[in-house]
Amino acid sequence: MKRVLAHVAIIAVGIGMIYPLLWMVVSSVKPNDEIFSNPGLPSAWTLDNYVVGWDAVGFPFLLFLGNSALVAVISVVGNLFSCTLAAYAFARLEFRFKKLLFAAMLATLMLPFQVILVPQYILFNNLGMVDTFLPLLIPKFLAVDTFFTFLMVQFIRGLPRTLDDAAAIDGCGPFTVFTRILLPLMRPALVVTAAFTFIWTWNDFLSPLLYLNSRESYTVPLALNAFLDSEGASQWGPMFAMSCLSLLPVFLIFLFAQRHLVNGIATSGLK
Amino acid sequence: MTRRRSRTILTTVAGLTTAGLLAGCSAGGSTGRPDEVDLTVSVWGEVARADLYQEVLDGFVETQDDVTATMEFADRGPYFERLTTNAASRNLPDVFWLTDTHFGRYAGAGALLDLTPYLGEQIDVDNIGEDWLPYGEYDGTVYALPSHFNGQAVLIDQVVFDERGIEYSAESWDDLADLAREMARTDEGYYGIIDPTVGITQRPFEAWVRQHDQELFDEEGQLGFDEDLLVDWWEYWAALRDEGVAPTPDVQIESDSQGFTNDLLVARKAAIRLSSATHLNQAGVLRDGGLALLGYPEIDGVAEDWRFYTALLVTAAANTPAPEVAAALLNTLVNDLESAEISKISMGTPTPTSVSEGIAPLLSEDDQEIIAYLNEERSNPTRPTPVLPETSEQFTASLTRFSQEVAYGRMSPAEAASALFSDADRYL
Repeated sequence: MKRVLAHVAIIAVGIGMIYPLLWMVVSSVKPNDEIFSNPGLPSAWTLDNYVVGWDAVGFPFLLFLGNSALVAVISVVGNLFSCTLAAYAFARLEFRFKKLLFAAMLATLMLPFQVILVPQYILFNNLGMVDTFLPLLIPKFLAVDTFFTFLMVQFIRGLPRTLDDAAAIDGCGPFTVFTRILLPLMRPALVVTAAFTFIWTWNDFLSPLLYLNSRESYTVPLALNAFLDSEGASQWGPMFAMSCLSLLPVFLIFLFAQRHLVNGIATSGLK
Repeated sequence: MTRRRSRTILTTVAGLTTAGLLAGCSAGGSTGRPDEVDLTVSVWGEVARADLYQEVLDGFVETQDDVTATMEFADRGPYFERLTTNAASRNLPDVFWLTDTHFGRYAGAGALLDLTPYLGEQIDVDNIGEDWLPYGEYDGTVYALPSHFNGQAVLIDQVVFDERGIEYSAESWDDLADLAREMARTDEGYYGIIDPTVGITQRPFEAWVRQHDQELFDEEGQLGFDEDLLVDWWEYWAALRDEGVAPTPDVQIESDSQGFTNDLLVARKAAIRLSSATHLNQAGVLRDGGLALLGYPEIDGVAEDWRFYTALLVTAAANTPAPEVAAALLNTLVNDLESAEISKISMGTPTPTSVSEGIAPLLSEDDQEIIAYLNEERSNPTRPTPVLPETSEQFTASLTRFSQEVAYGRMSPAEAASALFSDADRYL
């Protein structure tokens, strides 16, 4: 009986958590005037919001999905490349000012994005990179997402040093130890980094808002914002329809990477 | 190459790069018109408005040699976030819109182009009128032009008034409260009037203040009204909330958060709304008409010249490489009838009467009513509005915050008014 009650409670909480998502999906197939006035099922089901929303921002929505995918995938590659190298250096190599630099890295982890917003914008503006994807991508290749560097440092510290020593005896240099020994063992941490980078980049609004001005270079969050007019009549229906479509890639990432995500977090000491 | 030498080279390269970047940061704008001009124009709103103004821009560039123009847009909140960052890096769009509450900050920071040399040249000021130019002035210099304006009004659900056989006749604030009580059906969740205090606009309170012959801000940029006036205002609305005539703050804030889509007047859950005149169109479209546009309640015999208008200001950036072309575009956006025939009243009623009356035949009945209402309002005597201080939007945010504290019962009107005045000492 206790178990049944526990399950009922869990299911109730689950429904509560999924309700906003269901509300959005149902709203995407409702006429615009029913979205806020009728909280239940629509009086008439319609796919008009999908048809209207697809072309409403001047280009097919596929373009924005493509832009977001491009930025997200390159960001994943950048973070995997740069954060693993930085993490290996902090976790295994000895160099001057290592502790100071590690502390500096941790300090940047705690720095709100808003603090670096303006100087970063000035830098990229002076480099003539505004209205290109470069300001969104270049930082990813410079290990600025320090959360992932920290996560991987913790992960590598959990791997036995005897593996490195054995490889060194066999003639491996530091780089070969990294590529042949540690990298293959870091799979759970790499999956976490890849998945979170993809999701955070996919959902990022502020950076694309600042750097992408032309409509053809919009990412999905910017395109969704184009439906909104907080002072007038927003196109809620088409916006919810396109939001549903834009959730699919994130949903798929979670579906396939779920096991590794839990594994990666659990084995990196970031519990 | 030794390790020490390679490090020296790296340090030198890094130093030169930094120096180059710093030099780039401090480079000023060029003078004279470049051979090819690419203007960036920015407006807030959604994609439909941006499309209209892109069409206006396309028409403008056809009249110019070697000029191209691109439209940027975002919803109002993100629009001003982006603008703030752009201003910090001296990379503002060439031409863009500001509200009167943001204008002082940008003009005071030297981010806007001094339009004085272009007045009477690229910019025709006759149509705008001498009374309206001061809206874009800061410290006696013209930095912006009032392209559109709006005025205060009352919107009512005429259908419900007709059904109940009641005629709207609220000339005073007491009349308005009585009428709201008469219209409310508290047991059915139908409100007599929408609570304007918890939203993000200070305009209804500004009307209340000016009707008492005071100002939101004085000439020195300090608060220009008595604390008691604010207490009276909050008590007026608290009484209506307590009786269920106006919505609870939860209901009101949720409704306000979705723009007009879920407005209580649009959703037919309230009878009266203090509004801007152009809201007749926005609310009317969403609920298929049935609204009426009426004058504001007044305080008898105190200050008949209380009326004020909110101007939308179109301006050019100080960093624009082609100020003459930007000035010509400003003129088109304000004075050109053909352009206004495209953009219609998407941003509000055009300031030049010749333009607003020129486009009237192309407009819907509601839009024509708005223009007629505002032009009639303009014929009333109006005392000048002091220029808003640079941090005026902080006052707006503070007013909303303390209004919500009062609405939720966390502070009494007197406590909140005292806190608002103390807070204002910090930022004004």
